[in-house]
Amino acid sequence: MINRLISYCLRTPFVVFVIYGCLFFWGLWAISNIPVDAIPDIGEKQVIIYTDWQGRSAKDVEDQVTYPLSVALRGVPGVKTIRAASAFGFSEVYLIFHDKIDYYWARSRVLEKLSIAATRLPPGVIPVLGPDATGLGQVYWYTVEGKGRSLDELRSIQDWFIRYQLNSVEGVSEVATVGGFLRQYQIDVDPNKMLAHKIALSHVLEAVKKSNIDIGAKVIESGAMEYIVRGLGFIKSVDDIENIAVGYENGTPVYIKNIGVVQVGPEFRRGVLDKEGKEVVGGVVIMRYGQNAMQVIHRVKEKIKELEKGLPSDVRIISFYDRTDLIHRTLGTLKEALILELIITMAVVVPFLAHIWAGIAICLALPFSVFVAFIAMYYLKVDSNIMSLSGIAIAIGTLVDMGIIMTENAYRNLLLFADDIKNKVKTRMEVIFNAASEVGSAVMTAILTTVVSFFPVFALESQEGKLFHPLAWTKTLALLASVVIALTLTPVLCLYFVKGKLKAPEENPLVRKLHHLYERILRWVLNNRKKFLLLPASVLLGSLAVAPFIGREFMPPFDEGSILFMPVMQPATSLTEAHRILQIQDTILKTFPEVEMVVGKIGRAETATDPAPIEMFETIVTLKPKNLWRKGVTKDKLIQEMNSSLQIPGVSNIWTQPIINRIDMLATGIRTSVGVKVFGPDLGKIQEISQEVESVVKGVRGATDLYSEKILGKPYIEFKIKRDQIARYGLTIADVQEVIEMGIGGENVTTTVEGRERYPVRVRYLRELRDSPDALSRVFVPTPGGAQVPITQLADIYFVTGPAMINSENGLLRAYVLMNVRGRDMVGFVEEASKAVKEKVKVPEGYFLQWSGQFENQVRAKKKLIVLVPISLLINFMLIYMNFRSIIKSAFIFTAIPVTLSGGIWLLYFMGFNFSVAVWVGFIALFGVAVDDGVLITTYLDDTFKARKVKTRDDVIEATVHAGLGRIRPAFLTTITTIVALLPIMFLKGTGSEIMKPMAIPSLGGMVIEMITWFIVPCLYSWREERKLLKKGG
Amino acid sequence: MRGNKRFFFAIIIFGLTLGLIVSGGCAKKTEETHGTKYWTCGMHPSVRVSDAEYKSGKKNCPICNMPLIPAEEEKPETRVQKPEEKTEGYYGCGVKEEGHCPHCDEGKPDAKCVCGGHSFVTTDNKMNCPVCGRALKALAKGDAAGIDKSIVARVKLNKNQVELAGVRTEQVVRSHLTKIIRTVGRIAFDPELAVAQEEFLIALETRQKVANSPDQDVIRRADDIVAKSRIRIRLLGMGDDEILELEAKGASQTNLLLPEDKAWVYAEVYEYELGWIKLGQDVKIKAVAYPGEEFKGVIKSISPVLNPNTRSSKVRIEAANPDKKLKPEMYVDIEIESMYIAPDGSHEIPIVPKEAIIDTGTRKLAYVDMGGGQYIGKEVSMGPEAMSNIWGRDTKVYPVLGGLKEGDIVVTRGNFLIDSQSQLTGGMSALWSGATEIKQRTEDREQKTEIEPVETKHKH
Repeated sequence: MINRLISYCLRTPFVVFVIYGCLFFWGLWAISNIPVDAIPDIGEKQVIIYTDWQGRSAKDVEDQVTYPLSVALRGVPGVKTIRAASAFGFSEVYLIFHDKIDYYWARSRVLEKLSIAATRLPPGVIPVLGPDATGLGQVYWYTVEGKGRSLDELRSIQDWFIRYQLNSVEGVSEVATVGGFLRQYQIDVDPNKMLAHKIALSHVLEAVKKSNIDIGAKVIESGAMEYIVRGLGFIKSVDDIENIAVGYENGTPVYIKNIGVVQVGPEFRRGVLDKEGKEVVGGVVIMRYGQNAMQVIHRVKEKIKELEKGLPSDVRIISFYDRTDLIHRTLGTLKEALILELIITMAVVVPFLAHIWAGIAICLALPFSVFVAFIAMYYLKVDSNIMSLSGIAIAIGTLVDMGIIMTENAYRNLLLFADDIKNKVKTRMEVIFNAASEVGSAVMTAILTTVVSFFPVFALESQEGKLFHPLAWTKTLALLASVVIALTLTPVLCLYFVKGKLKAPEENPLVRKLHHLYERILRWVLNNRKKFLLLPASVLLGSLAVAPFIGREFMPPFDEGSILFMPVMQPATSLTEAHRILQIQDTILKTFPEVEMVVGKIGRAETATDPAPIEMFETIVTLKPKNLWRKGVTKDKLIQEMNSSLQIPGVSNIWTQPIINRIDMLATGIRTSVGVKVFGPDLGKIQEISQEVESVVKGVRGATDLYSEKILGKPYIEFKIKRDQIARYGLTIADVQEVIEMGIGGENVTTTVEGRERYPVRVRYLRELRDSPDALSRVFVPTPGGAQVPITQLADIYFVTGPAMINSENGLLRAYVLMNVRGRDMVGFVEEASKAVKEKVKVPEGYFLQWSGQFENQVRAKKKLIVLVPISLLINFMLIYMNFRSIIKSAFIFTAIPVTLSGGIWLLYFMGFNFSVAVWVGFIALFGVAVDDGVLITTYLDDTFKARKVKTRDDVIEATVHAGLGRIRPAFLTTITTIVALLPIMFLKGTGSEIMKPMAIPSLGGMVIEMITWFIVPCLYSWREERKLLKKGG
Repeated sequence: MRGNKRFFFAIIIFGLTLGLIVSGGCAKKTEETHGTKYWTCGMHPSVRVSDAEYKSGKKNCPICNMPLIPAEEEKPETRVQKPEEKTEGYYGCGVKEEGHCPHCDEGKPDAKCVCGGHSFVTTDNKMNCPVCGRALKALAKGDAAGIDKSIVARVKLNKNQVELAGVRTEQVVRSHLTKIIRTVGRIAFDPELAVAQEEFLIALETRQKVANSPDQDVIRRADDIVAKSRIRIRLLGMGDDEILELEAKGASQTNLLLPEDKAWVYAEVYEYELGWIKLGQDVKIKAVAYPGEEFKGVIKSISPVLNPNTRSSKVRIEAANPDKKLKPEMYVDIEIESMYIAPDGSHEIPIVPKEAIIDTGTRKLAYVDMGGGQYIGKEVSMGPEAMSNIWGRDTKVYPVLGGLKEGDIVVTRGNFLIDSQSQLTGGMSALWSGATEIKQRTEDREQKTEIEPVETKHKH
């Protein structure tokens, strides 16, 4: 079949060219349309249900919203687990779905359940689905600035103009506002005056609500015309509110202005945005799940350009975080790598073939393999990002191999049959066809082994699966493409390109030198087999000895190139104090000469994808281009300098990066290698248990970064209503609560409608009457008897410490004890630690512990790999066996696996890299190509030994040397191209290189050592032949 | 050929020896991790540097660059659930540092020092030592004795940190304290009282008239009427002094009915604030009708009974009424300025500004500046919030009843940060995998190459 394909292509070159021409443009189209982002989305597949309940404490939210929701949402199909968090004013329920479930399907299932679940919530509390975006979605942050404009003006522009316009851009899921002041009509009533006028708070609320209505009254006909009738009554100004009558006494109305003050002021807020010490208004564009970040940002920027014309002339939209920078940098690094690889491969191939056009024929196959890979990626919905492109980058050395083998054989055959062609005994086409079909099946086998041995990567699950599946896809696709190209395009190219004066290999000085050297070493090896075999043995033993010294990590960190400074304060921090600290920090950060811009956020942007509490700041530090930095400053050094100049007491400095942090923020699972979940019904007890667990685990060897989540720490003032007292006044709990809620907390009673804009109207007590614990005791409660009673007489006021945020899982309250493990095996650690905890920590009834964490992934990945790698090796072995039909020969070839493995380990050791999943993927990639040379040489050894009659030991050696020499040129070329193609990766410095390097190292080290197999295989093969001879002779 | 042979042998030997060295090294390393001594940073207890690492040059804290201090690995303490007799019920980490205490600079170079901050004293054993993060254990009798029980935290900051936290301090001074009680009232229109007064006066007159009557019965009845009508006007709100005045004057208060030069203001004072009200106190009155204008008054009487409906007591205030502006039944806002008197009866008491107190719900803390960047957190007991004209302005203050003394310098700004610092937990970044990576990487770097200080031109 392969032969028919080759011959068809050779006979109809026009069709081939047209197809490849189309492929070229198709590929270009695919490349520009494929979703691009910097890193794959490794977060869990989660749907967020966000419920806003203004002013309510975490406790209330947990009991009345989060718990009923998470219980009601159980049984949504495909859900792995339900995690939830209740914080001040909002609840977030995260439904974590199995990875295989379709995202939008999952969302609609949630919506179905939600309609029932919502009925269990307090009236007026409406749960909504979070944006259809993940942590990666926050692609573009901007500030809205205008000189001399107030924060509420800018906020109005952002809220009512910019936000909705940007939200309409295709691919944008949500645009959220952060910082500034939301304009609000504030009715501050004076309880003294209300007492004097005998007006209760509920009267005021009622009156305001009823004073803000527009109605329509159909039409009247008059003459031949009809007139639409409207009743106008919307509140439009402070005056309108002031003149609302809240009651009357003997015909004299009491207006709101009689009992309080009406003004326009800022709405209560939980977020502040600060730019270099100055407060600003900003927004964040959240991209829809699965969109092309590059294109979305591009469209957003276009829209902003349009919008700016419509803004007041002094108002600007200035971006302070733009994902495209990172994507450009990452893609730039990859582009650089790919181009360098191409050039280097050319530079190696051409001198050895001594024919430029042959080199070009080989290298032309490369871009086509890449294009075909991209086309397939587009339709298989594999996004383009650092991981998937790395797959291509590490495969390049192998991609050219097929072309090399094909072209080299065509070249050799053309040379061999040069006379026949001249004499027109054979046509060029025939010669090339023969050459191609000669190696066709070998090429297939080689690629199949490579592809098969990479299969275990597909079996990786969850986070590591999400990271490496794209890579496995692209690598496999590119390899498959390369073999198709080698069988279809390359022969055709050879037909046209391999022309002119063809030099025999012997005439090429480089090849001569190679042959000479190879022959000398091979002969020595064949004469000193035992001594020679000590070399690979010692390399192998040595590598086993150094392996324990190599560190271990889950994934090498990805450098995003920008800094996210995330200081965390105590949960009791007030917004004002937090803002003061943020301003100090931002001002200091700005003084660093490397810093371009500093924008800090306290608390949340108004989106479900940002659950940050106010004690947590997120400051994005944008850096200037590296060439403007002081001499000798690196990012690490800069962070250290910044850190040491920002030692504010009481603030924990955390330095991280925007994307990984966003993923962390939304990842509700345990992010450290090991964690203990403490479940139970009472928060205080849970905290107690987790602290005990912490102190027990502290004593177990290997535990580092130990941290038990502090649940309590937010001060609460609690009114405990005395039921016997209120009964005396004929009051109900609700009457008192209404006063507490509205008088102290204030409530948005209604919303004005002013053209496009809408502002809330809220009623609350005068500020100084409720701004201190003391004043709170003077809040009046109206009684049915007409008297107004201060609340201290109806309720006890307590100061208590309560939770800042309540976490739960599957409806049970939960706390984490987090830790990392260093210096020992994780499973052993968990076993020892859980045993110690079981012995020493008393867990009361109703409470239980669960050990979990990233170690599960690693253990799972390890288990999978332990099974799958041998299986893939076995399949590999079978493929080879099917080719040679000899177990012993296949075993000879397989010696390459341990030898190359040890080479990879040595290089890791020398370069100071850690073992990580990336490294293991690199090894798996290596196993696929390690045996290729062995296969190649064994095929020729077989042929030679079949062709020659071997009688003596010398005959054996000669035959072996002949066979080895015959294949050393392609073997050398394929190995050397694999090595040099990986070299540029090692010298890369750009963004993303830190992910690619660990994957390249095993191949690089392994392939260097792999050169030994050029000798091992002939050595063992000839040894066997010799023994056969001896047996026969004997 | 010869050369090749030697070359291969060399490689084999190299490989084997390397393997041996390396596996030997491996054994040694595991031995080291069993050692109990390690180094940590006084500011960042999460930092742990092994002895070997320390000796190889990692002598400063990777976070703040302060010199590391030695520490002993402690086996996890089993908690004592109930304080035994010898322990007095106090808990501390009980670490005794030889020589100079690295945390508070107390102690002499060659004496054993029990650092107060370390032997953190608390009756609650649920937490860890704020200085070193160890689990607390019950303290022996002697250990707990020498320690100021009101000290709950010790924090040491360097100069830079003090500056960054924006720490401001104020001295605890003795001063008068006032409290303003706000309430509402109305201008009296009280015919009932006016009539009662008339009746009382008539009764008095009658009594006088019958004074010489031979009939003792008549006198007794007249006395009876006087006494009863006296009770009546007292129940309607008049004080004893006022009644004497009324007797002396012999005329009822007509301004209870119509505006005159003086007006009566009836104010409602709630039960829980009654303690602040005394006869003769000055009162500021603001009428809704005359914004910005202030009338002055004096408390004349406090009603002897409480209104059960409102839980308030009627306070009668006589106010100056220039131009007869205050008209009966007008609503007025009332501010009564009252002096705070300490439980021991003194008028001048040590006060702290309101901002100096951190109310954690379970206790009230103030941080005292001991100089040199040292701060001590003290538990304070206080009276009610009040005002004092001190430090040149009206300031909200608390009277100190215990925990602080006059002359102590308390932190009024940045105290929340200092308090947080004392509660900081080291493993915070364990929450953020992304962040730990950066931390680890910088640590790795430090192990390999000492970072040379980069000239920083920035100023704080």
